[in-house]
Amino acid sequence: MFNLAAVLAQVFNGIQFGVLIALLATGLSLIFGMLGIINFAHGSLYMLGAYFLWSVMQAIDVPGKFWIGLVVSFFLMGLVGLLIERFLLRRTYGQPEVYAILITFGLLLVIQQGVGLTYGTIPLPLSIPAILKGEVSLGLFKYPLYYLFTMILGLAVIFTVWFFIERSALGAMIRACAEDPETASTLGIKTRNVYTLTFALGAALAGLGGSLHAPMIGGLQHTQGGEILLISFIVVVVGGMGSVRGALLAGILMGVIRGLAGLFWAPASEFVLFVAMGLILLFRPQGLLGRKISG
Amino acid sequence: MARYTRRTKGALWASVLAAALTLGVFGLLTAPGAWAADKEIVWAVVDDLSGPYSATADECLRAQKLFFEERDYKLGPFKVKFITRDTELKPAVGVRRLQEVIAEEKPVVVTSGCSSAVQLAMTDIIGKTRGPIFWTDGWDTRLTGDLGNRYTFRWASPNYTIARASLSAFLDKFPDVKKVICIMLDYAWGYDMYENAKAVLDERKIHVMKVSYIPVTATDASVFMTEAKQSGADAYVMGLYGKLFGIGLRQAHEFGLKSVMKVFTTTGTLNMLRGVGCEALEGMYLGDHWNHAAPNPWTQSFVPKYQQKWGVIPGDYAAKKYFEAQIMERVIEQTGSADPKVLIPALENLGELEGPTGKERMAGWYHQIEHNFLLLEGKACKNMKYSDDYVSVIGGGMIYPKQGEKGFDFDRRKDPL
Repeated sequence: MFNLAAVLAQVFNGIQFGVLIALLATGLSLIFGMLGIINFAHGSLYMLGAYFLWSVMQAIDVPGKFWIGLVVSFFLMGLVGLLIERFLLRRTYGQPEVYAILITFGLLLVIQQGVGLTYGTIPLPLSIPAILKGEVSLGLFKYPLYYLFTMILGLAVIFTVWFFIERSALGAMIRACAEDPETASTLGIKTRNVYTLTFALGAALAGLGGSLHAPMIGGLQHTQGGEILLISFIVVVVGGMGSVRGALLAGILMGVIRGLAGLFWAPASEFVLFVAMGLILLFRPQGLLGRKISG
Repeated sequence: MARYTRRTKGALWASVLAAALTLGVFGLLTAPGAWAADKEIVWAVVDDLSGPYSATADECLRAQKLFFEERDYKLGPFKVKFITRDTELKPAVGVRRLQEVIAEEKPVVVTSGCSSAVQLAMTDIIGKTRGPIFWTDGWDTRLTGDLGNRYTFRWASPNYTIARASLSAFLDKFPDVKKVICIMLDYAWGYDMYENAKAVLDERKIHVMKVSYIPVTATDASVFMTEAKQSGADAYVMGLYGKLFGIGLRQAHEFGLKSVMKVFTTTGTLNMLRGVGCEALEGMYLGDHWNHAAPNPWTQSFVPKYQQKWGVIPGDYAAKKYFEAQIMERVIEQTGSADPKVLIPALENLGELEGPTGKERMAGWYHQIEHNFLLLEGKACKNMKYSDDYVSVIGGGMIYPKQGEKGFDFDRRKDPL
């Protein structure tokens, strides 16, 4: 059972799952790092993105409907994020943090129950596109093509987000608003628009994660999103709040740890993430790539 | 103006009292039938109405609503007050809601859901409060075994039957299976399911290479699929439920397990099959309590009316709940009573029944309705005649605990009520 092929396959599994979680965690990290908001509705946004994809694929019957659905879902989730920030969260700026927490927690429940009422409680199937069905040989083992695709796409998106934040003019504005919003404002940066953009991007990333994960989970349910949110929070904390690279590194690390734990002691495969988080924070309280918290 | 003396006032009050007493006695003597017809009984549904199993609870609720609407909310001579409470899929909440319902509404019947942990907790309370009549949908064997009581009844097959009947039928079909790898839910139900599956595997000297328990909160099973594919096993025996059923079967398909081994899962309900889809289900084997295409009079009568009312084909949860309500109607009409102390012996003596799977029987000694448990095979998408036509029935069995077996050494009929 513990041959090299099995271990390598688990490491690969871990990386794949880790990249998917990192996609969610990137959005969460952006929102927290830039806006200082712990978005408890992130899991619901992940779920909503999957349902948007399903809806688009039901509404149109053309070749490539999965790809169209993916793009439409991404932008729709961006719009949802924009509306949430503009009409709900903006009211909490400058207020105690608990207000934002309560609003996002309430949103979690409203979105979840709203989806349940709209789409029903029966699981909805979502198929992998034909071009991505089947397996590909990776030398010692075969791996599902769709899973490989989600890994590559996830890495590409996370890299794009990192490049956008670190290397673009708009990204510089986002970082400026996160560092010192007052100074950024005096320099002519419209901080409120930047916050809206950041939240919209975070929501779109959550929705994209949900859309990519949807064909893997055997039926969409309005209650999905809770467990994956917890793992995303772990990855954000371990990676360092506000760090996109940290989210990716932590996501992959947690994914591999989880995969190998499953090989040796399956019931601990979720529990081991908390242990790993505790150990990492013991030695690096700011997370792997977070900024050191001064005393 | 007339003045009332004390004597006059006394006479007036005496007259009023006498008239009231006369009317009361007269009413009691002349209208016993009307009195009984106005009597209301409470039918309480305490189920997992929110959370991951809400689709199942919804199906159960619809079946019971259909039943009572057909009868204008009457059971025998009694009007029915139909109430619902949500367990939130948490044992502590389920217990609290059950206690509240018993204290406030004094139901005659409580029907409940499928989560074994919640059902075990609620059954314990029912035993302590000595009623009301409790119809459980949990599959943990002990619910009508050593953890049951004289008030708890069940139609759903226990894990004992689920594992033995479907797995035995599967292994009979594929005698070349000599070594298996298993995945079970890391949960009360999963442990019980494995214990029963292991009994079948040990009997046939089939080697269990590994059993993995997947946490209920897991969102991915790829780790286990990769491991299974590398294992060299002849079959993958899965005991998964709910969201993890969908994840497990979908990922078993995506990771190409069907190309290297047989994939069998102890049970899968129609809602779960809908989520997985025909592509993944094709060529997989699974068990179920009932199938909507079963060629028996009960099913042929029930399915069209449920479909007409709710616009969807019913799964086995709907069938169970509708049939349980029919059984209660039968004993209430038979006895003319809504007293559990009268109804329970009547339930225990039901004997043979025509039910969702055809010929069934009430085993009064442990309050289980024994019936055929099915083995199904997933159809290819191109062979489906309609959207819910996911499986073919290819076998099954009626394997139930015997009185005197470990965990079943009792006769509930001897317990005091």
